[in-house]
Amino acid sequence: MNAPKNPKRLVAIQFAVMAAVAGLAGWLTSLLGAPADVTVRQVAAVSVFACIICATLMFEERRLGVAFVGISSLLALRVISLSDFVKSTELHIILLLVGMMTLVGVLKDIGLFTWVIQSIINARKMTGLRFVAILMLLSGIMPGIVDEVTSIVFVLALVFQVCDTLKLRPTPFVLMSVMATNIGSTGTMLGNPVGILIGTKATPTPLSFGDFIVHATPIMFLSLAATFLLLLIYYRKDIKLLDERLAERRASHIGLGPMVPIPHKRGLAILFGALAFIAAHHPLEEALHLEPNTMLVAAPLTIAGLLMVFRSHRARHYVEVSVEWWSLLFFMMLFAVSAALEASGVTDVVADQIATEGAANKYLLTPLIVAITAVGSAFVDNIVFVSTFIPIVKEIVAKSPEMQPLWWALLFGACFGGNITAIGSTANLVAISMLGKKYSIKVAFLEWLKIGLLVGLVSCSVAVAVVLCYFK
Amino acid sequence: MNENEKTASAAPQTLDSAAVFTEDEVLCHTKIADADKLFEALVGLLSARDPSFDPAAAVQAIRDREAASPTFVAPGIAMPHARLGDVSRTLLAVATSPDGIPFGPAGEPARLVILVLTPSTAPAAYLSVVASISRLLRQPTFADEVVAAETATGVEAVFRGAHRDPNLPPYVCAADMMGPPVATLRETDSVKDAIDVIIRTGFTNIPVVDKEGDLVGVATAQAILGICLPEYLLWMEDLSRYSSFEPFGTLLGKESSTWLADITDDETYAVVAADRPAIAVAEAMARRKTNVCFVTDGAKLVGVVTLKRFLHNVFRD
Repeated sequence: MNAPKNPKRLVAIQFAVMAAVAGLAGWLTSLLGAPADVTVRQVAAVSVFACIICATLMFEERRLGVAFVGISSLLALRVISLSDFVKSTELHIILLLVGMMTLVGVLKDIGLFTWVIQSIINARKMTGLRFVAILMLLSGIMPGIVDEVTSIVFVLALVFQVCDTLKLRPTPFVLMSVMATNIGSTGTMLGNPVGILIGTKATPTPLSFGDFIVHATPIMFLSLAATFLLLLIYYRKDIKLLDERLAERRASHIGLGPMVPIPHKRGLAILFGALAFIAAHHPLEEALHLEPNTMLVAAPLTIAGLLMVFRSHRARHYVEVSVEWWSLLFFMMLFAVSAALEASGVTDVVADQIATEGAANKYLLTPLIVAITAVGSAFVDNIVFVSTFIPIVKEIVAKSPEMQPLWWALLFGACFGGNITAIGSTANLVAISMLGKKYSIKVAFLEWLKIGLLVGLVSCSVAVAVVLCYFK
Repeated sequence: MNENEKTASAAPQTLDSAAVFTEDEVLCHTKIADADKLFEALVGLLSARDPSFDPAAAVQAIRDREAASPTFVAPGIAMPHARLGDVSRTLLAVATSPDGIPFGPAGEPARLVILVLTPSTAPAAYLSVVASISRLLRQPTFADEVVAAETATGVEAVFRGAHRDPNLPPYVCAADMMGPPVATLRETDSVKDAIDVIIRTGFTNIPVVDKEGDLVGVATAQAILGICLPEYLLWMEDLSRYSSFEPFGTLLGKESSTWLADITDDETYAVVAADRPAIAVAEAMARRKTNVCFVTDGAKLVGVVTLKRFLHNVFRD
């Protein structure tokens, strides 16, 4: 069937599909049990959730609008009260992200990221293999320090500089970077909003920054190493060509970009100071008798606040430009819809179903949770899936405390699954958009799926194996 | 509707000059030796045919245009013209002078003068005339035949005969607007050569050709700036600390040994085929957000249209 040429007609069709899916989801919900068991609130919550998933899939630019309307409907239908809505928007997570985004804005301004890129492109004796190793390591580590979207923007600037100068096809290197970014985003609590969400919501006790370093970081590095080997084989021709061009360049004694002195020590001091402060949140909370994760939010806010005080001439710029308000508002709406699903009892029904199927067996439930969230995150924003699954995992863990490793399964499934398709994560969408804008290159869905599926399988397998062995 | 009106209403089709003027608008072997007087005489002929416009204003507009820059289109051939608000169609008058009438500040003699009045709201009308006359002048003996004709009927007959050429396309095409490339670079040149050419010519987009003369890309001043100040340097809030142009230093030391390919845009420049309608030139420049469009015959570079030239031709010429 030919796609409609009229954009208004296309939008009308998309809205019709969205309404149909929402209606179908509501109807299916009503079939779940006897009429007395299923309430109007549950049907409404599922329908709004389905609408938001459709909006995320079909029209990125309208998803926030759809979320606003959806939340208003839930409020009007009394599925969620105003006070519960405000509570469920997880303002502490949003403020943590605001603080981190402000910090990133300052580091960008003072040239820390420029220094990192410049140091790599002017490194002596650079070979194709060495460059790809550095690229993937950088892509894996950076999202754990900043966030995945900021990280991919910086790393792709490096990729584009090298590919432009050496006249190379950028797509393989962009895909390597994005896949390493999605994997690396699980390395720390700050790498992905999903990590923050899981960390703050985990039961019986919330997970700390230190818990992530101890448990998630090693698994991230193992998965990254496996993915690196896989990509080395898959893109061997492109890496060989890169190696040849780098050798020609070395022979001519010409670098890959300008080399200027950048006073980077101040930037490094701010970054490591901030990370140390955030990493110390748990001992600080214990010493000060604070609620868990209080300092996890307070630390980035303190750092951002101090930076804005000292750089007052750019303070507005950091808040207005460096902070991704579009995404943050969407997250708030999404958290509220998930809360509505939980409040209306939908997640209890699903949790019971999964726990029954999995017979509270972690050897069944761990791969099951990883598989469900990986496949789901391949097509829908991973935060949508995670925020929906949190109450389900919470329910399972409440019934069987030995199921606590499922929180890690949820994290790895959601983040690694993002590599499977081109629309699997925000980092993927940003990378595709940057490729399109700069080179008018479109990455075919199947081109991505071929390698994405392999990477997804390998990294998820590594994660499942390690989680099962590590958390006996 | 007479034949002339049909031509005017069909604008911006090509000029059928033999239909736009008749023998009544021809001054054959005129003895007038002053350009201003010749303008008055030719405008007088046109005024007799179409009394809707003000002859004095027309003469003044022609003088003003001529004062801005002489309108020679080839040695010995001038095309004084004006765009008038009260002219409803293209009007054309011809004068021949075997001895030549002095034109412009240098007094260069014009043996063939083709005066054109066009409606101010129809830029394609004048461009059509210029394109058609230019094509006529490409016929080697055409101008000499017109000047040699001893009667107005003879002059009109030469034009009418020339228009039997079946190769005249029915629109103003890219080739009619282009000028020769001011400079070209070869694939084997270095960035130093490109910087030299850009500084010498003042043009910021220099076409790069291979040894067959085929267009392979464009070296741009912006690309040179991009090498020195890549995106990741521009992330920084303030580059004023590099007051000694440090980012440029790397290139300065290596410009002779840096390949031209480093600054050659081989994909996103504006290019159209010579026989495409001139509007395609504007479209290409608008879509590519550039102020220059390269014109090719096959893959071979044959000319350049700058945005300045395009705007001048359409709005002012």
